[in-house]
Amino acid sequence: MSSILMLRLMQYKRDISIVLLMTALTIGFIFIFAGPNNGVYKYKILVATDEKTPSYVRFMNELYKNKSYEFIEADYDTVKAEVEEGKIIAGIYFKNDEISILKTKEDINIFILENLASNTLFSIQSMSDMAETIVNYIDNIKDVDNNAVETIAYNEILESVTEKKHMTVSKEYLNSVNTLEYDGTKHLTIGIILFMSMFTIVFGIGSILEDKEYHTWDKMLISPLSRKQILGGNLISTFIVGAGQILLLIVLTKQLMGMDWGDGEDIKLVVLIGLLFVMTTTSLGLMLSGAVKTQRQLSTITPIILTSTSMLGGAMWPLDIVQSKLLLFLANFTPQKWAIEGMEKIIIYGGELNDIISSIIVLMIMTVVFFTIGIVTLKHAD
Amino acid sequence: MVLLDIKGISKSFKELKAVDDLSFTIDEGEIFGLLGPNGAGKSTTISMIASLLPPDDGDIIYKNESIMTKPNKLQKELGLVPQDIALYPTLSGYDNLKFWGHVYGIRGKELKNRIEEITELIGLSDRIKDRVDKYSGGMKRRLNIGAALIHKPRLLIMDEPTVGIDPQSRNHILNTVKMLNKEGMTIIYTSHYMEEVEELCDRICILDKGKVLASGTKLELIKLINGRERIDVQFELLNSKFMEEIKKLFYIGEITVLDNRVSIISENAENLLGDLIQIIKNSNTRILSIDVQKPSLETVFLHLTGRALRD
Repeated sequence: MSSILMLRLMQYKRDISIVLLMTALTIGFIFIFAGPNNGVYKYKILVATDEKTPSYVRFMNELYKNKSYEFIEADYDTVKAEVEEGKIIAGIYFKNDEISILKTKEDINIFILENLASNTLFSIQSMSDMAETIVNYIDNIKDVDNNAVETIAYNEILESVTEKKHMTVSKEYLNSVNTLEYDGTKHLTIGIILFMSMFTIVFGIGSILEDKEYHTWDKMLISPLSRKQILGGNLISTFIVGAGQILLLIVLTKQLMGMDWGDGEDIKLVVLIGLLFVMTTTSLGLMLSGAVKTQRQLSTITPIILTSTSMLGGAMWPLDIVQSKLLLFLANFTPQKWAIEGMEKIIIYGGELNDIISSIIVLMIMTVVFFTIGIVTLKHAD
Repeated sequence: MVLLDIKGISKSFKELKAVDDLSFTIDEGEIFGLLGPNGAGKSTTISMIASLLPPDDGDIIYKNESIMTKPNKLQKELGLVPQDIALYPTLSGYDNLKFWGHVYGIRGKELKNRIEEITELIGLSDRIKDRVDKYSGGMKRRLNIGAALIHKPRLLIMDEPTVGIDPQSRNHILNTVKMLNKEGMTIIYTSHYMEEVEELCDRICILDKGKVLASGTKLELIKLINGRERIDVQFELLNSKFMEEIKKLFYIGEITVLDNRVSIISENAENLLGDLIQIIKNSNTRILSIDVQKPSLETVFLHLTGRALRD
């Protein structure tokens, strides 16, 4: 097995420029798509209103918290003109506790904006309604007995403060439904790293096909090396290079772009998911190598498969904005979905090991399935 | 001493029977030639001997042990020079030898020394650090042989090692084979170049369509045609009149026609030549060449199959 590792090391040494180019490209893509200054490109959104009501103020305060868009207040005519001239992608007009989106086209960013605005409005209205209910309740019991009011109010406040019932409900609602709380920079960084590293890994294990084309595969088979050793050497070398690339990218994005991968414990879990993802992709590469006959065929199908599964698996945009049930169902069969979900749970939502168990299990199952199919098809191809 | 005993091996690929009940033995220290045209079953036989393909029937015994059940013994002592170049083109010649040496468990200084020896043997000392894809066809062939020799194999199988190379590299390879054999290496040499097999091999097995047509030393094989000579006539355009006239000669031997070439194997080539020229003249046809050949393996093959070796 050490012979195969040595061989691949010599080959990677010769082709180091390609590995470095892939790494540099990944960094470049992250820089371009996840944006400079640790943020995605912020779309400027103008917001207009006829009257700055308390609801409007609350609405704006909530919008300002969002990192994906830059919200600026303006008068209605300016908003309308800038939308029509294409200077901004959309504008928001707030009137009588209702909003309307000014737009000239439909696209994914406008769709996200619409969701953000309507969810924010719904959220502040819910909180306002709740506050009004409490005020009315206190008003109704005011005539009874001051001591009793005091006791009841005290108990109500104590209960709400202690149990934080309404706060908890509100927070959970925001986290689970409001898709726009996601951090675009982190999401895209994770997505691009996983997407690009898949190419290195799949082409790495595809060296088996090169061996067949170079007729060295047969020579290895008749040598004292066993088939297990040959395959094992290829799998391990590919895993090492793939894992090395992902780890390098984690370090580079942290150092060069200030990407927040969390504290020590978080990074360990991120690396765990990353390594599992490398294993799954290595097995996927083995399966693809068994399905085709030449490296050229692999080079043809790999970009198609990796790009489509990455799109499907949410490497390029959050799956929360995908509405098609079919696409969401299919996403479950891509390793990207589970790896991204696992990493995001840790570095965006502060999750722990328990939160990523499903990702770990699914990636392991995928590894076993791809590996088994790969071994069978490779043996059949011989 | 018998090193390798091939016992009735057969191999089919779907409908095609590539090797059909093949049997022969190879003695230690000899150069054994497998001769046959393309598609004769040489490479399939080689693959089975090298334990790359399992035979459908029969057995292959190496040093009294079946390689079907115990391939390890053979694998350690076998060197294979495949017909196709089996090298990593993006690596240097040195790295290729290093890898194959490592595969066979050679390490450190021993590996380094062995690479130097092999490099000198194959005449690539000045280019060994270059990438293989910068090599000429002949250099690749030589390195291909070097890679098979790195672990000092006891049995070396060379499958068409001189295909498509320049005469200089070819001579170098043939000399290398002779030298290795002198040092005691047993060699199985397959080729469809009759001259190479004639020059190198102690014993020869002629294959066609997966079967053994004949086997023995060169002299034994030539005896099969009783010392008859062969006349090859290459016509510009062969006409039927010539064929009618030539067949009338009572002493004519075997006639084989391929396109515009006629090959005649005859015991009385000297007389035949005079009559032949007369018939050519009468039949009003133009010839490009007439060639009288001494008894050779090519003639034996033609006699046995009715086809030329390179058909």
